[in-house]
Amino acid sequence: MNKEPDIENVCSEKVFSELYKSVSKDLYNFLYYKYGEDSDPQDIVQSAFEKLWKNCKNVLPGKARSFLFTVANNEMLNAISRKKTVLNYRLEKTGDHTNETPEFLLEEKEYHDRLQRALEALSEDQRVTFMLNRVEGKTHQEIADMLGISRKAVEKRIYTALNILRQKVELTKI
Amino acid sequence: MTNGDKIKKWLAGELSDAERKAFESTEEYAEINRLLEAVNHFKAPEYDVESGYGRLSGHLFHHKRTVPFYERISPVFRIAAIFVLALTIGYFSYHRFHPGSKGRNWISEQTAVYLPDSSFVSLNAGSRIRYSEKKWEKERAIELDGEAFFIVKNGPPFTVQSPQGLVTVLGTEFTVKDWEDFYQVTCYAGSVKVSARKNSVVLQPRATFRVVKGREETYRFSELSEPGWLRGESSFRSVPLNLVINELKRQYKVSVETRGVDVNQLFTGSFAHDNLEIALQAVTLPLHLNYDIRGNKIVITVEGK
Repeated sequence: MNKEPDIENVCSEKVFSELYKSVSKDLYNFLYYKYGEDSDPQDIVQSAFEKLWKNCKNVLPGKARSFLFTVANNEMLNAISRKKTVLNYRLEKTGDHTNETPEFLLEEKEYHDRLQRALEALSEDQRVTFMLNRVEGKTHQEIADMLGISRKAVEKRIYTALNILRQKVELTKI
Repeated sequence: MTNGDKIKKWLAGELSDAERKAFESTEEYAEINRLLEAVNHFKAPEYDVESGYGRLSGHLFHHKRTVPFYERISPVFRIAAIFVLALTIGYFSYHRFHPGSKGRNWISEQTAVYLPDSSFVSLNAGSRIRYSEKKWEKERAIELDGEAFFIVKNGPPFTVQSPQGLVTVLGTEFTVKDWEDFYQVTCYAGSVKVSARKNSVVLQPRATFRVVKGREETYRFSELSEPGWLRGESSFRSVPLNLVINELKRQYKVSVETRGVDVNQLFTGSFAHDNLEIALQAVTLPLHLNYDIRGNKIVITVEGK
């Protein structure tokens, strides 16, 4: 019996569970921001890991992350019929809004509606890059590694996305 | 440095302290900052890594644990195990084929049913469902007899088996209607997979698949966000008259007799569930038929005869 743990691939429950713990959340966020919540990102995450387990002999631990992202992305492309991406706006209940006038609240709501439409209208690549950076606090380098693009490209996407959002949110205000 | 460069550098955190302070006092910054603050409201729901891994590992590693166990046990236990297995199979098949068995009774009296995962089912008149509460966490399987509207929470596959077909979904809103030779599935949100006869179809929101007397058809509609009968109305689109009459019988608990009427002619329209007289007019007038209410019995005849 060979008791030496084989670390050349991911066929050990330990390696696999560590991978799950370090990658699943990023993968979920990536799918959510890219394709929206209606695309069942949770199911795709599970099925990507399932595929990794089935192919564990052929995947080096160092390559598992990009394997998961590629598999999940392909699966998503096959599963969805290019429908509109929906990001849900979460109303946060804070106690300190009681003094605000109805006009202010209405304006605020309209602003959020415009922003929601603008976010949904971004390209998938722009949106996922922008949201991972601004909302999830991922650094440019982390995103570059995640998406397999250069840091410069990440910077450019975030800047372009911000410009588009600003135009769409402000223009309609007049 | 142009304005654009400044914003780029600010985004990348590459401005010097002085430059940053100067930039952060501009009006343009205030506008950008408002936008970036607002964007946080669109944060993805928190992903539950622990429970996700729990589900996945239970599913993937289950078989790995049982194999070495089998190899370790003695032949005597193996023979004993066969008896235990046989008894277990006997026990479960007994319960499976006896509808009165615990946890799988038909639910038919209620019109709204919440399932263990808080998925929602609304039953139309004369319809019933049943499912196994024990197995619910592993397979969300519903058996349907009749017509029901479902709002399914996200989770493992959810199936609705009825005599003429099988519907599989992940999380969505849809209705299944299975009466005699009429089978219809309508999707209101998400997407559903229907397997009926030899084919399977994937439906997008606002699409209907149906089999009427052996003829298959898929069509799209524009406005409805829930079935009409939830609002006290039954709607039909090119449906043979006898199926419409059957629905009348179920909704009003009356018996209907037709005399000389072509029950295969198609009816498009709707009738309300709160007034029998108006409902009968809604169905008979467009088809040039007459009706006569005799207590609990309705007689439908051809106009002018």
